[in-house]
Amino acid sequence: MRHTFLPLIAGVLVTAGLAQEAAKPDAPKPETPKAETAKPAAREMPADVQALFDARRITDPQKKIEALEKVIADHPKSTTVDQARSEILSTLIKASPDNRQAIQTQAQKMVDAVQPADRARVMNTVAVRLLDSGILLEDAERFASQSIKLLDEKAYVAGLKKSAAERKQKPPSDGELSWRFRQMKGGYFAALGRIHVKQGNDRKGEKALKRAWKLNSNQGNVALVLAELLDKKGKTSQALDYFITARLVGGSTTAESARKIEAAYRKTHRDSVDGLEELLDAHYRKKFPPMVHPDAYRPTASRSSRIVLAEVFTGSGCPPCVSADLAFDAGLERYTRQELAVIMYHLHIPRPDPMTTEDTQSRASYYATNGVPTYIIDGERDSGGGPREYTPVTWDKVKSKIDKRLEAPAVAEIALDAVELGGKVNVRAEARNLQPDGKDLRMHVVLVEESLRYSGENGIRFHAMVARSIGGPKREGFEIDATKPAVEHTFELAGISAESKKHLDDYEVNGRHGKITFLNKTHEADPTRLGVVAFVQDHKTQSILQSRYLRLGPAKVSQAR
Amino acid sequence: MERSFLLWVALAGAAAQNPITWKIERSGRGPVEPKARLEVVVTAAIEDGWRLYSITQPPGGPITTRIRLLKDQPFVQDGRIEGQPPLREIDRNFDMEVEYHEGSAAFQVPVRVAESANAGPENLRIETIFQSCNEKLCLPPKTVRLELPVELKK
Repeated sequence: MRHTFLPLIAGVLVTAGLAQEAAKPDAPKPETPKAETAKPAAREMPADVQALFDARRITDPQKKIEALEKVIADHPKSTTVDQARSEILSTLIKASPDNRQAIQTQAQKMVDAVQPADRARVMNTVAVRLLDSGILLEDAERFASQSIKLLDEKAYVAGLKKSAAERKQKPPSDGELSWRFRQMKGGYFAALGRIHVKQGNDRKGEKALKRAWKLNSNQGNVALVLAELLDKKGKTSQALDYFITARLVGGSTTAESARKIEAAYRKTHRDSVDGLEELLDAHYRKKFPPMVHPDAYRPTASRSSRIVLAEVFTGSGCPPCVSADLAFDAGLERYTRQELAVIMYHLHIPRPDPMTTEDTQSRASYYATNGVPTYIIDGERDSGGGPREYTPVTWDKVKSKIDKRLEAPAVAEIALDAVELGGKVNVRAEARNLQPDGKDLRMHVVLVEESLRYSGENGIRFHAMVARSIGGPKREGFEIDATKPAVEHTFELAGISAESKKHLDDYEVNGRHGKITFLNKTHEADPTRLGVVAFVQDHKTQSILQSRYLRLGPAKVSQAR
Repeated sequence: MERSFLLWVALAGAAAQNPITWKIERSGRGPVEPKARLEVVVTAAIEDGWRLYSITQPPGGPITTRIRLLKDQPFVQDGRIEGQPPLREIDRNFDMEVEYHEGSAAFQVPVRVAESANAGPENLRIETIFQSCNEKLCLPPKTVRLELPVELKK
């Protein structure tokens, strides 16, 4: 009767899980077991997969190969066949790397066994496997070259359309399919280039890698190999270009690659790294020109006194956050700060993000934000983005929402004063014209950094309006009403920086991503780029009554009324 | 595979998107011998439109799914964790070919009863750490702990 107590265990876990999630959005989320009927059941382990698993467990190479051959014979139409063949090749390479003939025969078998349309892919797989094992490089080169020759865009497109139909999915557009073909071809040339390099033929390697780069100039790993090749040849300046590009496309975010960039830069800049970041800025702007060119907003007859608040949850390692980040950059260009205030809250989703703080996570918890990008415009939630090319689509959506909100009456006004002096930002925010019966109102004050430079995995380099600190008890704003409409708060910059660093230090050891190292901890805010966003929010309904933005000038009182 | 126990696990949060749910099961029925080997299978059910990234990925790709036995229990991992063959496709988010699963994915976890184990009822505890993205949204990395009651013989 052991089954009978499982629901009891489940019940206990549900309670614990929800409590922990509410307290800390990025903390480990315990599971919530549910009744078996609550979710669609996963398919049971198919017999072919089970047979493959069983064969893989065999330790004797010969017996393992025999078992894998049997999997292929017993399930000739299974999707596991590819993997079984690949496993045989791996077993041979590992067990008898000197048995050239057996490996060659198996490699050829893998190629011969598949349909012509799949042959290029399998040849590329074999080539990469040999390359990674560092054996039979001549064969690897042969397979890699043949795989490129066999590539056929028409057949590739037809294959993907057929596959989508079989999975009852809408096929990607022709443009998308063509793009994917180029990416794939770029990957095949990259494999060939790496093989040549491993063979010691740098000239051929460089040529193939440059072809790969031409087909897909977002392959950071290709840029890195090219950079190292050129550096080796003494073409340090060209090498530096590739090192920089690798960094900018997000393919070079390790400490080792950062050292290589610095070393190449030093060689061409009198052993100094002065100006390196500015050079990266220039390259970024050249490689990634703006995707949209917004017109300045022209107020309509219905324009109210409202300043719209956009709160954006994002991640520097989140690929689909790119279009959302860029869309709100466009928003900052189209609207003045008398029309739009933006706060970007960074989160460790899906990768660690050094702009994340306890405060940003707390705000995500308030909104029960689960994924990124999520943007909340005057309390109204939306989510979803895409890669850089999708920016116009995301921007149209965002623009339409902001334009509409600019015509919604402001339910209050805010007078905001702030001064930055001696590492402290003193803020006074006062709500005006509040309804006498207004309840559950909070005045929020958020310290933001107007522009922060950091190249993360998704390639975005310039981050606007990055939330640095949120004022108020539990970071939930200050309670206000018509009789007590003003709040004062001091942001202590050193304390904020220390708290941010503590969070990042702790995340490197105890975070959700295991042990990691941030290439650059961005915990120190630039005091010359700070601003304050104040807004009044109904804490229960989450609606925003009014917002206000103030850019800080050093050592002088700034006012926004 | 004969299944003795089955436990469904879903993720927490009423407002959260939880496109991936997990279950754990093992072969055989009844108490297990000391030092015995267990065939444990962890399976993910993946909602339409979402991807579970596989346990292997090329450099620069998404974070791999990780499955591991928790420490301090009378069970140890006894070999490589194997995953169902993943799909491979160029992913616009990563500008490269990535390995992923759609629909469902099974992972076999070889487990052995530890030599120091005592007889009696125990729970095998396995943790999966995974992230999921679709074309428009990335969800946070999630950790799900799975438990499977196992009776250990003397």
